[in-house]
Amino acid sequence: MKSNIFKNIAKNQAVLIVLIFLFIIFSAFVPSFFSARNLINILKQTSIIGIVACGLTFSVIAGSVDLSVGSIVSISGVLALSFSYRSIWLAIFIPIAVSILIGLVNGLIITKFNANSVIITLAMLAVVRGLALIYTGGKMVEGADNSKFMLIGRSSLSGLNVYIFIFIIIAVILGIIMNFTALGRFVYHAGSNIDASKIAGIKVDNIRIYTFIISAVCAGIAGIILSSRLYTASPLTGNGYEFDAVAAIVVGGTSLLGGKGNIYRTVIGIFFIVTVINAMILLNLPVAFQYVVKAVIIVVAVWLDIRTSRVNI
Amino acid sequence: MERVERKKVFDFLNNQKIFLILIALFVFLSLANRLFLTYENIMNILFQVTLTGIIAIGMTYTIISGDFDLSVGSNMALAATTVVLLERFGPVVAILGALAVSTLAGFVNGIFITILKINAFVTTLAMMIFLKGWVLFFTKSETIQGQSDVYFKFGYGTLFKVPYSVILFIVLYVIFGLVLSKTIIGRNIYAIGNNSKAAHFFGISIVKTKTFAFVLLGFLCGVSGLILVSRLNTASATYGSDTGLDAITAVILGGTSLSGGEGNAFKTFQGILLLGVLSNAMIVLNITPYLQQVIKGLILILVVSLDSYYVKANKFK
Repeated sequence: MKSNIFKNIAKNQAVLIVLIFLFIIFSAFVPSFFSARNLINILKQTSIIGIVACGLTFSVIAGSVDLSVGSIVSISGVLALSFSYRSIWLAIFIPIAVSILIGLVNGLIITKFNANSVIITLAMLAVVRGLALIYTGGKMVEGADNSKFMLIGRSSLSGLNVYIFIFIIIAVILGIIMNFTALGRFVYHAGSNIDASKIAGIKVDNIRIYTFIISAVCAGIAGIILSSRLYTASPLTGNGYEFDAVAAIVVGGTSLLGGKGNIYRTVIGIFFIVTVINAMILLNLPVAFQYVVKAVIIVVAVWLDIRTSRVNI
Repeated sequence: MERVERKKVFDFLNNQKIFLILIALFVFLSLANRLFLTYENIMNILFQVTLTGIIAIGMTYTIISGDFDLSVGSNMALAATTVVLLERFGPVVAILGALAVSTLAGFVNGIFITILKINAFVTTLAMMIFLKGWVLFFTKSETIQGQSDVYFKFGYGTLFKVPYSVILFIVLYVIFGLVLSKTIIGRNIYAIGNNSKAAHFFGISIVKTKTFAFVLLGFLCGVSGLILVSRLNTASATYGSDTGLDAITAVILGGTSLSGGEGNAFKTFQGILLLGVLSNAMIVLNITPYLQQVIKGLILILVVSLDSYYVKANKFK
């Protein structure tokens, strides 16, 4: 009986255990890994990509995937900085509104035409990137001096950047929505069996549209924070964020087939990816290897997931 | 009797709609711009679509079998990198090496999808990142330049005023179009795309058939990479970033369904020509590259939506 409990913990928290294990190894062998500055660095990197990944988790659990988030980060950052000259509220409101619009269009096309979400959102990635490039004329955008907008990415609270707390708050809210509300339950149902959910009277299309809006808005928020932190934004800033977010979700153990997983797992997954990449940077390995390692992590995680779930049946 | 005739005409028009759009576009553009309907411009369009067009043949196979491949652009860049890096061992080794590496990548895709049962999206997405990483590593994130100009003979040589690469492009379409429509392996690909469970019960090997499709696609990515080097004699990780989406667009635009089981290489040929004419028209009309990117993305969204809507409507008929 007791060994069963341990077995369950080992199975359910495998990623966390591996992460802790890696953390100990990196602390012992990678120079300056275990220092306050680096640990805060890891938290900072986790926060921005983490917001994207937590939002994306909704559409993945609902059984689709949103690859347009990378461009949404870019266009949101570009819009935020160019409106920072007007007022902080416009700099926040405009990017969020645009993100909602993109998510709505994604969701409507995918649900109403029953279209493949990978291809549609990949095409949307290209469209939004093109629009961001047109908007800035292909150039970088700089923010207004001494604007309050700068505070979002550059102020800190008891030694930690404010946006780390924003990430924590967003993750907690999304986790609560996912696991303790009707909307969250419907998201799981939509992801595990669309036809049964429709028969049960769940408005699956609407639920899936909400998930695309949530992932787009989270990407938009990440874009605002990133632009406020760097205070320059390029229409290509968010390139590749979609892959990192998908990698984090998959590593955490959320199934890409939908219906399984949660926000907590995504948070663990994003810590995992960021920690590994961080150690690689500290070890001065070529940037190219980051791509290779990410690819291997994605495949191994999915393969292990398939294997263990097959044993369960 | 007359009704049957009319239905036949309607079916014919419906099946050839891309061809008709293509002709209409041709007429419109040649009226709009005198330079459009010249031998040079037509050859130019074919020359431009060669790389994506060759990959689109293989993409047709994978899409008909019910999957798609996002790694083709990186795979092409890897072939180009390999051929430039292996230059000092002579062109034969370099060319065979590049084809081998690309084919191997396709093979690994196929094995992961069929034997490890990881879905095509995850496998090919991971493969795309993986190959891109190696290309970045080998090129040191720069554009690498080949020394010998032996490949230019192929890249810019012509036979009866037709570039070699365009001839190769058409020959590949004929060969693999026939393989798809006339051979057992081709028929098996349709069967799996239509209903993989039924195909399995009829004794068709899903592992062999799907892996064949991915191996072929990998090989064709290698061929595209070689043609790329024969024209530019350089390699870089930025090459091929749009190739995957363009190839998928050409296949779906031609009328092959993303849900698998139908379509053919001739349709893809029409799709790639239409895409080529549209790109050419956008350049002639002075549309900026950024806006071209937006328009191409919108075309993909439009054709996938129409295709999915058609499939959905048929399902509930």
